[in-house]
Amino acid sequence: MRLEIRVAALATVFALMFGALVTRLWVVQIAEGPVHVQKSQGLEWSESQTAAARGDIVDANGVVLATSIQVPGVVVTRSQIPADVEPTVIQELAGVLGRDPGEIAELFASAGSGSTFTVDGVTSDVAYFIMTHRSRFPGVSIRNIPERVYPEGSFMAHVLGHVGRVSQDDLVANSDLDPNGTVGKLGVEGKYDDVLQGEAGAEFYQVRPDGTPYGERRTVAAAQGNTVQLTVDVSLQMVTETALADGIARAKTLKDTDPQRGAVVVLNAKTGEVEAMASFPFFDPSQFVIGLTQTEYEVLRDSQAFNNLAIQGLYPPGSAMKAITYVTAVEEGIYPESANTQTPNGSLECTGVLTANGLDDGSQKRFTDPGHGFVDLHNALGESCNIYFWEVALAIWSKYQGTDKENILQRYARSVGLGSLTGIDLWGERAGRVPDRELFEQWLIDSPALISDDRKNGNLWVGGDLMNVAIGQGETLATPLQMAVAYAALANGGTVWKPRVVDRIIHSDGTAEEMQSGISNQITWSEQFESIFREDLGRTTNSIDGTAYQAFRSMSNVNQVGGKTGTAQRAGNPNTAWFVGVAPLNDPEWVVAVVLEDGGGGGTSAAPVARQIYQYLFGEEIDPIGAGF
Amino acid sequence: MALFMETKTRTEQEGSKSTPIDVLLLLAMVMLISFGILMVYSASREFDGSRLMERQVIFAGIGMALFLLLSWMDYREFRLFSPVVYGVTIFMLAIVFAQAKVAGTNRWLSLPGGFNLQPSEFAKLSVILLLAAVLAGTFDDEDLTWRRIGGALLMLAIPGILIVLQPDLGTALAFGFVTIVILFAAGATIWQLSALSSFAAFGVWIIFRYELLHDYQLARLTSFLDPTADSLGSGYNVLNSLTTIGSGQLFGRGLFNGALTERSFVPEQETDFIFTAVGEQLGFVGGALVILAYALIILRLLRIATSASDRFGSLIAVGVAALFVFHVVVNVGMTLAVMPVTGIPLPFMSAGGSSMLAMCMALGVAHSVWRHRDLKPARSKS
Repeated sequence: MRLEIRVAALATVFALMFGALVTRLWVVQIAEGPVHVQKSQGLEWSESQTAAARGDIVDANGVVLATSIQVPGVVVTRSQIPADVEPTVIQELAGVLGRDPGEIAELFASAGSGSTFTVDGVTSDVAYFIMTHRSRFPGVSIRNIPERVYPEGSFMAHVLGHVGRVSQDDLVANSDLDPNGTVGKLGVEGKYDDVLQGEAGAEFYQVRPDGTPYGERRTVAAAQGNTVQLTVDVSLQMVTETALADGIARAKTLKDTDPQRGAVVVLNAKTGEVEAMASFPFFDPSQFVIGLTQTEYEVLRDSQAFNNLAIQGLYPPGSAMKAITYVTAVEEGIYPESANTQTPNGSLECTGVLTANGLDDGSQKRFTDPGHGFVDLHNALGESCNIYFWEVALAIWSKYQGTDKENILQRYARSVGLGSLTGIDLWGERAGRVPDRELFEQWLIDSPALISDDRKNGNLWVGGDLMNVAIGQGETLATPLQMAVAYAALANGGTVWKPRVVDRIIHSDGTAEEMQSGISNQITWSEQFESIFREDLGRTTNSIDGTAYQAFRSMSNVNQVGGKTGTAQRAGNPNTAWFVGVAPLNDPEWVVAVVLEDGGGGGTSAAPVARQIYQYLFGEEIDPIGAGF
Repeated sequence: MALFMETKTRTEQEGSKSTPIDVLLLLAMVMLISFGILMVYSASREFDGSRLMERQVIFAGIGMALFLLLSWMDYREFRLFSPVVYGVTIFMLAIVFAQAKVAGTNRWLSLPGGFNLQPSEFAKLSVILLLAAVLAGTFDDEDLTWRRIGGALLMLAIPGILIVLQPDLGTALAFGFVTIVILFAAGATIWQLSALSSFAAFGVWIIFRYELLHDYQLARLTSFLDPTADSLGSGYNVLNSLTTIGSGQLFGRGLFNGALTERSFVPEQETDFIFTAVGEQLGFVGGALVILAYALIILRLLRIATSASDRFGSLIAVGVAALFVFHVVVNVGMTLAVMPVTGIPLPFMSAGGSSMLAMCMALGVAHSVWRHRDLKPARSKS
């Protein structure tokens, strides 16, 4: 029996071992089964993203301004690289790319394990070498990668914007972005990024544990982004940019000027479409694709080349503001008390000196340019008479000070869009400022340093401040686009547009999504205003005493063009030159707003730039900037 | 208990040759071999077509022939040939060192025709025969003396050292397990077993103290404790193996439908990790059935041990049973991350000729014990 007992003991031990085995099998397959199923599904197919080509940006006539070309790129798929050979692959890649191995290792590390990413800066020679030495580069492939190209260089850069690497902030704002891809920054590239970004494609493939692809391969093609068609017309834009650059170059030759920056907007008064928009200095968005050095970047940044001054440049509008004072006077029936009648035709004698109480500097007199003689509202606008518009402000002040109509002038300014964002479909727009008593009260609380001691002790907001508003000085600030929108509203019967630079979005199937200009305010002007305003704008360019008469003298169709000059004073700086034009006067379509920072007089520096643009719009031969002077 | 105890009710006839075959043993064996061929095909067809399966069929055929041949031989004659078997085993184990290393070890013997023989697989059977011969003694009622134990261990020393030098840790461990089981069955006392265990423990301490194990051997031995510790190193197989088996769940994904097996997700899935193919494609039901078939074989072997006509036969049967237990528990346990990865094939199922032939021969010898259980009255006392 001894053997039988021993065998029975062995049988028991063996049975326990087998029981344990079956129990373990149960745990793995039944209890933990679902976890393993889930994990196995993730292992069956590996995925590698293929970048989508960014959609084109074309002008109003379909001229391509931004497109994507295919360039060879090194795509590293870490999931296909066995861990033990990865250091070798990094060394090989660094060698062939001529880069520091540490740098390449950093790329690997930041992309994360199992990820797919692209290494930039690959020449076709390098691409060919890698393709013909595949065994040395497991998990590394050469693919065509879309790259952004701006065929016209720096042309229209501020409207187009540029693309750049996806930053941490971009990812926070939009988690759908491919961290290794590009994203639009600034301009249309930025604002319409979600439209321009295509749908990334993917390659699904099966791999063996050693990393070699195996079995079926499925490809989901990348879908190119939509095409964005601008309202901007390339030919007009070309004329505009040239006129702006020439205008700045010429203004540099004048006395008491130092123009470094400027901007022009051509706005369609009938549709709210921006037909041209330029900001100086220019930059080349392609530089962001190939990469800027720190020094290059700093030079551009310090010159404010990245700023689109048409929507970001804040300047006192100077006399260009007088159109607002004009409409206030006519619509509210408030004319200078010294005028012989309280109508637009009532005149006063301008001696160049105004005597009044309550001026902001505490004096009783204010001086301006040599007197204009007898002026009424009409030639006050054309000749830009400060005395007349000051007296309008003083009339408002004496009639309404302290009442809720005290800031009636500012209300008209705001009703046509000053002091708030126009709502254009571009990033970074600035709102400007229309000052009133409320603003000063706010400053007293927020930033008392801005308020002088006299004001703190005496009257915070005085008649002299309103006089400043009436001629666009003091604390008044506006962008060129705001001025264009305001003049469009004054000239088009009262529609205050939300301007736009994008006409439509064209999908890959050919269907188009038409964009509509929004309207931020709709005003109905009085018949009286409609009957005289545009004619009076024409005096600026057509009357021999008009402030832009010289600048427009050479233009054949000058009788169809009106506008207003502005020469804004900024303490310690040369004057800022403005011109805001409207044409054709009988049926306004083109509003052209020009600003030259430190450019001097509006009539001498800014008006010629606008005149060149109008000459182009009327199909005339374009005279040089200096013509007529 | 009665299952293992053969009461001698039958008339013990001298020279009777007509004892029937063990149907259950044969059935389980054929089932596992057929199943194994199917699994090898499913695990290798994607990269190897039917080549490996065809080889496996050929080996299965040769294996079955050897099984039948040995079954019909009188197992007692093996005792007479013991010295020859011993010599041949040592020769084969030694000659592998004359060959170029394969995968860092001297495990294989290249034969003409492209076949590679793995002598260590056959050595396991030799060791069982030799231990049984030495420990059985002259008379079945002899006590197991230290002298005989010492003789058996001394005899084991030469093949044991050669195996460790190859190095083949799995086979060395198999030797140890089989030896302890045979010693126990042969009647070693608690004192003898404790003394031997202490001695073995001391040996293990020496091995670790003087770092006699290769690093990879240590890593393989310990990786199953925490396979995630080194997911692309030695734990890699085990992690993938767990995922593959686990994804089979209750009924599996179906034959030839194993997504992970198809793409060779587990390295060596056609050989040492063949059980992952079973687990993924046939699920818990299939896996448990395979384990049950092995249990049946082991049960029959223990039954043979209790019904053998002499102690030599009993010890052979117990030894072969121990060999199967060791291979199944260590191999399946390895794929389930509860045993170290030691390169122990799954009998009848892992692709490979040596294991197939050696296991068929082992069962053949044990079956011969069964077929000749009534040859003559073996035990003087019951």
